[in-house]
This record gives sequence, C-alpha cells and structure tokens, in this order.
Amino acid sequence: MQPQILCTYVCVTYTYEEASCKEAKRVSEGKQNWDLIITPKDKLLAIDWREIWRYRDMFELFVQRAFRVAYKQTILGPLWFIITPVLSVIVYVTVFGGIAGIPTDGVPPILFYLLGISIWGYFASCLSSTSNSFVTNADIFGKVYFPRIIMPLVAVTTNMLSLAIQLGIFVCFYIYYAATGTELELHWQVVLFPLLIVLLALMAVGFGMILSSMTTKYRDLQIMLNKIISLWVNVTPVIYPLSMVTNEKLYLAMSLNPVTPVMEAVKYSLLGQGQFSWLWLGYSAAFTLVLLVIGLMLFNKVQKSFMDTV
Amino acid sequence: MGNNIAIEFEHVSKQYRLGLVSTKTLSHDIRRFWITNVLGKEDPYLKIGETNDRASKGTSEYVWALRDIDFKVEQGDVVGIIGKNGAGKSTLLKLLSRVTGPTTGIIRAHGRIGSLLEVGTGFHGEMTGRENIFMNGAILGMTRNEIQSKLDEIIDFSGCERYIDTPVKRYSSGMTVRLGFAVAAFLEPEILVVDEVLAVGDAEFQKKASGKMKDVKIRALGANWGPQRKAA
Repeated sequence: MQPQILCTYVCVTYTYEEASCKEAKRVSEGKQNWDLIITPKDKLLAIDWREIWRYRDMFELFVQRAFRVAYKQTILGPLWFIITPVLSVIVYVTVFGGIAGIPTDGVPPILFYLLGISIWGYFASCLSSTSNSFVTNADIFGKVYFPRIIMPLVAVTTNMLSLAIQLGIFVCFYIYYAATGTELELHWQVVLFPLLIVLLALMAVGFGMILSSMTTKYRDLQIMLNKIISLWVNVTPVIYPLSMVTNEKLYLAMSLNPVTPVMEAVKYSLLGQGQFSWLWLGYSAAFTLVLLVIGLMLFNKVQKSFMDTV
Repeated sequence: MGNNIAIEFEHVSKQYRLGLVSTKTLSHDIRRFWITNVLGKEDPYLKIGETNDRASKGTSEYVWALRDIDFKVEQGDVVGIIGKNGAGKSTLLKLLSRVTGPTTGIIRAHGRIGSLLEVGTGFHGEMTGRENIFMNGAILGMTRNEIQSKLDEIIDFSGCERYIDTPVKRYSSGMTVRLGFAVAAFLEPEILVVDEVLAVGDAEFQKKASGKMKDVKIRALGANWGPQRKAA
C-alpha cells in the first residue's frame, strides 16, 4: 500500500488578466495594494460595517437557522412560540396573583404579566445568548473567519422575532380587554416603544460582550450568569409593580438598575402603570453606552486569539 | 501571468501556552497586564518559550509553534506545505485564514481569501442537506445567489441527491463529508487555503475530489479563473 502523505496546501490562484496589467503598473511604481494586512493587534473601538454588510447573507441564514432548528421534530412546531409564553402567564397569574396576592395596580393581571415577561424575556435571552457567543460557536470560529460580532447581532435579531410573537399575543388580549370594557390607559409614549426595545437590546449586547470576552479564558462568569439573571429579574419590576417597593434603600437600588427605567416606561405607555421619566431613561442610555464601549473593546481584544484559550 | 506577490509573511511567530488554564494562567495574565500596560515594557513571556519538539520534555510552559517565518507567494503559484505532525503547518494556515492572530509579525495578502480548514463547517444535524449547503456556503463567504446558481452542480457533485431533503443527522459520515466537500469545491476565491481536507470519502470520491482540485489548478494556470475582484 502506498503511504498516504498528508500535506497541507496553499493554492494561490489569483490570476486575472485585467488586474495583472493594472498591478504590473502598480509594481513598476513600487507600490503594492494589499487587501488584507494581519497584525498581532487590532484597533479596539472599531466596527467594520462594510465587512458585516458583505456577510449579510450569512447573517440572514443564521437567523433562519435558529428558527428552523428551534422546534424541529415537534408536531406543534412554531405553535410552541405561542404556547410557552401563554403557559408561563398562567403560572404567573396563579402563583403571584392568586397565591402570593401581589397587586398589579388595577391592570388586568394577564396583560401585566404578559408584558413584563415578554420584555424581560427578551433582555434575558439576548444577554445569555450574547455572552455564550464565543463558547457555543467555538467550532465554527475555529475553522472559518467572519466578523465575530455577527453572532451577537444574530442573537438579538432572533430573539426580536420571538418577542414580536409574544407582543402579538399581548395585543390580542389587549384588544379583548378593551372591547369588553376594561379601562386601559394608552399614553402617547407608546411611539417610543421600538426605541426602548433597541435600548434594551444594546444593553444586553454590551453586557453580553463583556461577559463573553471574559469567559473565553475563564469560565467562572459563565457559570455565574444564570444566577445573575435570576437575581436580576428580582430587582426589576417584572412580576410586581415598582410602587409596591416601600423600603427606601431597596427602592434606590432598583432605580439604579438600568433595566428598571425601560420596564417602567414600557408599562406606563401601554398600561398606564409605572413611571415615565426622561432623566431616568437618560441614565439607562448612558449606562448602555458605557457597557457598549467596554464590551466592544474587550470583544475586539479577545476575538483575534480567543481560539487559543477557549 | 502576474508576477505580483499574493501573500507575504514577515517575521511571523506564534506562541502557544501548554498545560491547563488555571490560576497560574491568571497570575501570568495579571503580571503581563501590569508589565505591558502599566509599566509600558515588553511582554516578559514573549522572550521565553522553546521550539516545538513534542517528544522531549521541556522546562517552559510556552512554546513557539512558528518562529520568525518569512516567505512570499506569487500570484498563480500553487504551494504545498509539507512537514511532520506538529511542525506548525495548520497554525500557519490558521493565521492566514484569520482564525487566530499572530503573536508577532505581519501577514499581507492581496485578493479574497477562502479557507478550507475543514469540510462542512456550520453543518447543523437538524437541517436538511439543501439548507446546510446554503449555510455552509455562506459561512465560507459565498453569497446566496452564488450558491443558488451552483446548487444543482453541488448536489450532483456530492452524489447525495436522494437524501438532499433529509436532515443531515441521518446521513452516513461519508455522505456528510461529501456534501461538505462539494460546497467547498465550488468556492471561487482568489486565494484558496486548503488544509488536509482532500483525504475524505471513499476511493471513488477521493478520485473525484482530487480531480476537482486539479481542475481548479488548471483553470488557475489558464489565467481565466478567479474573476471576482473584491467588491469593497
């Protein structure tokens, strides 16, 4: 038997008549135009949007894949996108409303919980999928180059679609309640809703990028993340109204939580419960900006060589 | 034929750390951060490190997989890198395909790079063969239209037509690899980086695969291949 020679090839097959004329000229002028220069370090605060745009097809396919794969080999299929939030609302209404007797400030409990868990659920799933982006995609990242930042963007988009489905359910209930004569306050700030969602997404991505960069080498934070999320939901007015918090120190701590202003603003604009404050939202936005800058710096620092440590 | 340089490596080195990631790594990281960022001196761990000889026991936990590599590849060349296991062949290609960064040095390239370090990257078992062709092609840098226009050829080349709408998890391992290779075979970059992926499939498929690679080479030498200039 012939011994098999495993060899590694680099085939350079760039030969292009038109271009070679141009390049011959360029060489004669003593200049070489490089398309790609790889150095040990990159700029810390740069995002190459043009490169991301070039990979838009891949981005779309990743988003599609997340949906196709989510409920494969199930009979109900995409119906699960509707069933799961409805089931959790039933649990919430029974446990928190029925047994614990937590008030909802005059808002129908179904609407209150549905809105709370869709918004929080969006934030939490963006956060956890962004912060796992290096570790879960290590096998792809280890074989092919593409702008790594696409994976957090995919996570945010995918989750946005399931948020949309949940909000669709919310709207159905909203119309039902409005039609049956329940008084619901709708404020003009509802037009800001898309912006608030974007703010929440950016916050999750910023924080997620910090966590994902730090977990490539040391996995401690990844283990802690679930605990962080389940603690965080408790200091955010998701299952109870903020007005219920009477302890001053606790109230201050909750106001400093950057998710609280967004959650309150959303609840105020759609249900008339909660508070809307520009200053408070400004604090959230500033917080998000800081998270994004730090996150991007860490992400750019790590993305080049994380394959060696992951 | 152009006599231009397509790839240039200049003093490229790559250092790896051996052993497990542990508290010792953390203390090295903290010390490195302190010395390079606060004191503004050179990284102390770059000076140590030994040549990469896997058979003998060394004293340092840092090794150099590549050290001071310099070479140039001209346009139209087909270059093979041959060496022992652990000589750094794959590391070199990983640097060129930007999967990992060099520790020191600069790599310059002219032309769109397509790298094939593995076949079937990004395949998802739950998706059908057809869906995976699109996913894999996109990951390798093809656009959706490009893949669509070559879809029939890809399916034909893979020889998996009967199974193309079945989830890939039901495929035999040979079929998965064939499908992966088929996508890669229709990748048309200006610089193609290939790492040991030709040894796939059964004898019949290997013949087909190496035939395809020769075809690529011939087209390359015929100077009419790789017509897409970089869009950006």
